[in-house]
Amino acid sequence: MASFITSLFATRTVPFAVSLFVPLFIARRYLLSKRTLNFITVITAISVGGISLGVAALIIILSVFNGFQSLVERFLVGFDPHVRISAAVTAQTDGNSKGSQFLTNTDTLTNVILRACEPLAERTVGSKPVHVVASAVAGGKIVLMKSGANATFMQACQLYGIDTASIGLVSGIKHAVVAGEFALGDRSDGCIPLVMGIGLADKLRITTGDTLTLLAPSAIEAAITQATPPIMRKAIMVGLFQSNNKDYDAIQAYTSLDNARVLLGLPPNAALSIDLRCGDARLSNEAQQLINNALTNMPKAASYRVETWYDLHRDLYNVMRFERLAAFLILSIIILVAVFNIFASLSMTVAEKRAEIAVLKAMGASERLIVRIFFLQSVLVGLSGTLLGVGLALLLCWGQIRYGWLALDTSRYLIPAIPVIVQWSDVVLVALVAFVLALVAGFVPSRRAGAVRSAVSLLRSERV
Amino acid sequence: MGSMTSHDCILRAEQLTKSYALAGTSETAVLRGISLHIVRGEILAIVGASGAGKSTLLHVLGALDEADAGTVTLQPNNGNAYTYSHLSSDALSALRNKHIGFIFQFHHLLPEFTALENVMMPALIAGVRERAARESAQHLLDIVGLAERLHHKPDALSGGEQQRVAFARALVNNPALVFADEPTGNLDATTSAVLLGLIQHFREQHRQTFVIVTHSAEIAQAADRVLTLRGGVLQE
Repeated sequence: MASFITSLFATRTVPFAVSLFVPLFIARRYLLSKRTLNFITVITAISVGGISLGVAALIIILSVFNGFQSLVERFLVGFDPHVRISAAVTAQTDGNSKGSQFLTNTDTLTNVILRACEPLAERTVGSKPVHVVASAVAGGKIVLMKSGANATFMQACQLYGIDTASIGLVSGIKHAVVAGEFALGDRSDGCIPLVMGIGLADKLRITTGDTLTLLAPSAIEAAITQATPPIMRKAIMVGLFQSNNKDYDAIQAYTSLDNARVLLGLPPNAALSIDLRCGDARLSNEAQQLINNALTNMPKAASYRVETWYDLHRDLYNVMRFERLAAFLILSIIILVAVFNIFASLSMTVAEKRAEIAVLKAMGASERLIVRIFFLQSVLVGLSGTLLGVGLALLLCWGQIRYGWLALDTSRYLIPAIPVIVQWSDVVLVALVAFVLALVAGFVPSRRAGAVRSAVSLLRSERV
Repeated sequence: MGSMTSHDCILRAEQLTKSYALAGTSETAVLRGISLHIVRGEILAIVGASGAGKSTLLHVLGALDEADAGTVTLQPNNGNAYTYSHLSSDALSALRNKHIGFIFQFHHLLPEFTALENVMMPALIAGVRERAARESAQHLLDIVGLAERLHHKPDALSGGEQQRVAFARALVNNPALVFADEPTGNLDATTSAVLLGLIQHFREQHRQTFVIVTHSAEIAQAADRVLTLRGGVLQE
């Protein structure tokens, strides 16, 4: 195909004017002539419309996917750390797991991690210098009980113990508090302060200021095996958060690092993970690489797992990628149908114009020139369809971004309108695919036009 | 003809043969060893019965079709001579474009283009700049009396006008040799006379050579030589 196009416009002996001007002059006239509004003209118009529609649909759909993906990333990255270092638990053949579920040397580890990320501190994001912050997070399963006047509500949840001084710098939890306050310091009444997701609070039918009882599963296990009463601690809900992630809101609760360690039975220097934020999520992969390199020099290097924000929700992002690819392939069928129309209309044009091809050859038009004339018709149809489609898509995307034509019910959705982000790489890719397919469609008919032989017999046949 | 120098001869054909195998019939020999010299600047008329092979001969001489055997050599000016069988397809196209003009009975104008554009077309194919091609075409259309019809498309022209446009188109690249296949076959007597006058005008003014296949007695009379194609051979 490439050599075919190169040979078409090779200008070894023919002036460039002939290479392009003459075939373009004739091709354009064949396409735009209103001499006859026949079947071919209608199919050609359908081809242009089909390509426009396909291109526009593809760009718009990809832009909507971009919008949703960006939204999800913004929501998740806004709450999650950029990088999380946790203990690697490897599965064994007997079905059990090997290794500790906790990091046991968090102070040393935090120092190693921050030192490893020092090269990032020399960078800037926008005009701001990159500031890398790490914070240890303890965590584990715990049971919450709320006794009411008529019923007792029990709910298992994921309790996180966080360093209240630094957590605001590595997680979005502090900014996600929608009721009460983020006050996880020790209280005079001895209650453990909790901030929990609104979904979890809803299940327990509690609100800020309500007290409840905490019960660690390990304590339940110990109570059963050692026949001792389980340890229960009084807690008070001081704040409610809403993270835009319903899974988080439904199972997560936060307290101070020390309280969590006590409740979960962890040693003083243990944590579930060390969470890191590095100024910009785009630096996550680089930070991951640096940390991995640094951890290889640590004892038990294989016992650490370093994940970026993308890894934390890899399945979700993979599904979104797959959906995007599937939409691209399905909508490409529209373009394929239009391209088939180009092939059909051009083939019919060649059949209809055999006598005129013969006359052009009699005038001295070479086979290559004839091929150019018909190939340029597919170029013109493909180009006009593609440009129209791109224009239409950009117009509609601009309207959606600017005016939010497709609005959403804000009482049900987190956003007021369907999000759209146009990526130029998508526009170029779609335009290129459509244009190249149009060229492919013109390949066979144009070669057939060039091969029209025996001007004589054609001209003679006109006489009969 | 025996004393004719190579400079006087614009086209030489030697032992041309051509057969057609039509479906369901045996092969029919149309040209049987035809040899022919065409003198520079002459008007040569080829006559013969319908189906005698006049158009086939014309197309072989004009490099539109290939003979089964034999050679055709064109010497468009006093310099180079071109033997068709030695030339590539592209070279033959260039040869037709620069040195040969064709006029057909049914004019075969391109319907999507105006009279002016039709006449410009061979010049554009030759690589002549658009403005120069336009000027040449306008000049020729003026000569053939169609100065007022430049921007009309073929379907808006009469048969005579269409044939004059075709005539101008054949001459726009100033070819040395013009083949006309029954150019007046579809025209009335008056229009035929106009066309014949144009042929004579260009022969005299530009020393162009015309080879005309015709049934017209007027054209045959006006020709310098008349050859008859009968049974696949040419006779004086």
